[in-house]
Amino acid sequence: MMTDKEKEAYFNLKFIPFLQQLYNYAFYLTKDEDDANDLVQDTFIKAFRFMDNFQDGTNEKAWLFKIMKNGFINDYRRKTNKPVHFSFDTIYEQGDSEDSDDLNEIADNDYIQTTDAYKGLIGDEVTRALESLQSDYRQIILLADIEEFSYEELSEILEIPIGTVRSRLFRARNLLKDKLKAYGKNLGYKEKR
Amino acid sequence: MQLIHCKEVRDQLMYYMDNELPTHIKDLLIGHLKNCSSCLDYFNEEKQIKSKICNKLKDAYICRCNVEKLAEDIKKKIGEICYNKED
Repeated sequence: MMTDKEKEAYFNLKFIPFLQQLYNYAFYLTKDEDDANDLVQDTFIKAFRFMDNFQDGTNEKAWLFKIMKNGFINDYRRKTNKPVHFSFDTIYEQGDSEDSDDLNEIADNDYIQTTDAYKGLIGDEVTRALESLQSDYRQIILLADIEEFSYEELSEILEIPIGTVRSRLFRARNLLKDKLKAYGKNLGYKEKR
Repeated sequence: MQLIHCKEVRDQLMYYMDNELPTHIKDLLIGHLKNCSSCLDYFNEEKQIKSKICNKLKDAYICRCNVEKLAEDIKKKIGEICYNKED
């Protein structure tokens, strides 16, 4: 068991380097700089408090992203007076169906909010097309193609089986490509299927 | 000799580009691509499109904010947690 000072040193060495990526994800989730700051700080503090549960060999980055995702869901539920079922233990549990992705219930209603928040940041058809996708598809593309998580890490963060990661990502990218067909012609894309 | 059909190969290309194929499937796919110019063209095109889309998304979504202050704030709070425990 590490002392607090050892934990602090380990934390600064292994967790703080992911701060920028965590902030990007927090901003994507909250669409607000101050809320993103708060969410990042809450995530890191939760991670530190629960470091005794952190097992050797666990992927630090995926662990932090999962804490953030669950913290965001929890906070959203609290703000909307929905019952909160999440405990930190859920970080170690594996969901086994598409229904386990609670971000679905949050973010499909936030399309308008998202497009408003990113006004000025989103300048072209690619980002607009992504924003028009259903939340779980948007989420997996963001984590796979921007944050470059492996399927195993995506499975860990989103708490879905790897088979679901594969099928969801396949579907999400195809939907994105469908939306981009017109734009894709400008990118040199020719439909060959 | 082609071991798998073009449609099967094209369905697996995304996983190949993501480096998520088991070795034996990957070998079959590479073998097919070496012998099928149509699938090779398709693969090169898909790879190029994926790269362009990813670059566009990264440009749009990655915040160029300065997180140094945020890092300092977090380290300070963590330090306080440790200090309070010691008390």
